Amino acid sequence: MTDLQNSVEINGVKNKIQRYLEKPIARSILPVIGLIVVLAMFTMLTGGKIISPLNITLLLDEVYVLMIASIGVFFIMTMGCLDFSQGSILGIASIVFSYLSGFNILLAIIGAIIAGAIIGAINGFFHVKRKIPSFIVTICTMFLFRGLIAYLTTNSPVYAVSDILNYNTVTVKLISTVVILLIAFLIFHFTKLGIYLKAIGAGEIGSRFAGVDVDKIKWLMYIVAGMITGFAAFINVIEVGSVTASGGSMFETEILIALVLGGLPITGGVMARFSNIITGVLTYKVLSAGLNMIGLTTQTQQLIEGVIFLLVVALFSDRKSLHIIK
Amino acid sequence: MSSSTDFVKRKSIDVYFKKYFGILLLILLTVIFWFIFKVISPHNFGTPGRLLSYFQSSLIYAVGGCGLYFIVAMGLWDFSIGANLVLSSILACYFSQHYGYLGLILAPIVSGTLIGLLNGIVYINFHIPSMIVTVGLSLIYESLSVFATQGQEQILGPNYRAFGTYPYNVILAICAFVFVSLVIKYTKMGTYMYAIGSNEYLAKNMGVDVNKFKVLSYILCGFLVGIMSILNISYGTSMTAASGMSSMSMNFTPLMGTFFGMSFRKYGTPVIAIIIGEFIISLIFNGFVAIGAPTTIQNVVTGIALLLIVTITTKPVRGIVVK
Repeated sequence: MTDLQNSVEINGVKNKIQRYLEKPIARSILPVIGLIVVLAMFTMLTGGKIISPLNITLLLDEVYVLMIASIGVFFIMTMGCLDFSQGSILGIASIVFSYLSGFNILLAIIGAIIAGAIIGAINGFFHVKRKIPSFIVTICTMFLFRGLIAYLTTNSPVYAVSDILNYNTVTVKLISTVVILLIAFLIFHFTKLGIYLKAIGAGEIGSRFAGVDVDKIKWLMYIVAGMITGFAAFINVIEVGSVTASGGSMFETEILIALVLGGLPITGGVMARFSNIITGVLTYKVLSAGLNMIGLTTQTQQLIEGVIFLLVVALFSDRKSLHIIK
Repeated sequence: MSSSTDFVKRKSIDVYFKKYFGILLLILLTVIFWFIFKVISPHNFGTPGRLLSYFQSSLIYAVGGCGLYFIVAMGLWDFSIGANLVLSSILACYFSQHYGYLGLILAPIVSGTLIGLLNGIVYINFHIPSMIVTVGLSLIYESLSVFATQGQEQILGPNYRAFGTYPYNVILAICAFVFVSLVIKYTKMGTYMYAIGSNEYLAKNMGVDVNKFKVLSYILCGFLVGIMSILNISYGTSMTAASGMSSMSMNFTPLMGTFFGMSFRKYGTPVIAIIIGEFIISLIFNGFVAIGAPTTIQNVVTGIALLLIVTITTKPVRGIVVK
């Protein structure tokens, strides 16, 4: 009898938590609270070192590339699709940028963006025209282009022109990131495209009947995401000056974890918030830097990241839109 | 009377033709690929001895592909089998040092099955898509593999490498194939697996305990990855812990075999299709090596081949919702 009462009570509490989590306000606030908690926790654990000016500068230095590339994936995930090829896009675009940087920087940036757009278009083609699940397509292209990166860097890393590091200033990186964020924010909030993206995530058939050209938008978004990551390759190369075989590896997982930590539901839809990008990337970077600073090994960090990733996905998954979970 | 006998005869010929058509098609494909590479590189490719060696290496992936078949036939995904393979192979090395062949066989089977069980439990309880769960969990399994080895390469002792050579590897693989064929053909699991894969709602309403069979499919997949680990470590003799999602690449070769199985299941021969499919892939890999392509290009070939197989085997239906 007591067991029965206990289980009823536990279920009641679970339902209450579930109901609270489904409120839009909770979904907006929780990721921010998460960021504050993570920051406060590591400030205590590192004796304030993590918020020292030097560390904040270092932390911000690591944020730019991830923040920019996450924007494209955010658009894709808002539609309920996935993109696991962004790491390879970053690698290939970085190689193209490095090759072309000897001729002209502007040409190199355009080349990297085009390289990203081409891979995005390939992803879009197989997903939209051949109706293959986005995760499968992008994991195939991830593998394919990772092989190509390994091939192109077999003998030695691909070096950019030597004076490329002169561009590695806070002004260049910060302005680039803020401008792209601003453009994406304006598009997401003040154009029809932003509404369409959410609509496709919430109900693809419904939005199709409402006159949205779903296929066109999906394909466009894969190209756009590739272009944005192509631009992120510019920031990536000016920081390190060269591309090795591991260029961009695990980057796709970083983006996925960051966006999920920011509160973006895997299923996309109306619950997607633009702030998910900023809170997510900052939380992820504070978390990795914090775990590193308290002296944990790489494998312990990966273990903790894996556990947190699963818990947060479970917490923020939009179960109403998932009738059958495959 | 005679017309009805004719009808029965014709029908049985049809059934036989349909049954063996898939196998014939696969054998034809094998011969075509063999011929192409043999013409390009007549001296370093495709001698009977080499063909046996390609076949033996493809058996490892075919066992994993059979395990993955239980998952993919239900419409689910398991992207943790690479991490499972790494961890189970490492445990096989470690336990073989203490318990000999008993450790080599039992440790990976137990660890593979437990990982499968954990995948199933987390997937069912967290209510999140299987591909996301298994990607998240593979991060965890990879870090466990590093903990288990402290970053050191694990080498299987020379006394315990029988399953890496003919005929023991073939015997173990055939045991796994027979087991999978029996489960698919003669158990509820086989029937319900297809029912859940084709229409989960309907299966649930018909009284199938969907969650139970989903967990069971993950357990079966893990069990077969355990057997794959025995073959893999015995053939390769060493294993290094994985990190940073590097185990992800190990999911693809078994997955390609699974896709062969899925596309040829209409002919009633998924296991044979997986075995021949993996052999074809092995032929292609070795063909490229024989014509002098660098090993790094193999990943490119795998990516393109997988994309092509999925493209050919999926029928794009206009208006269908695919996320």
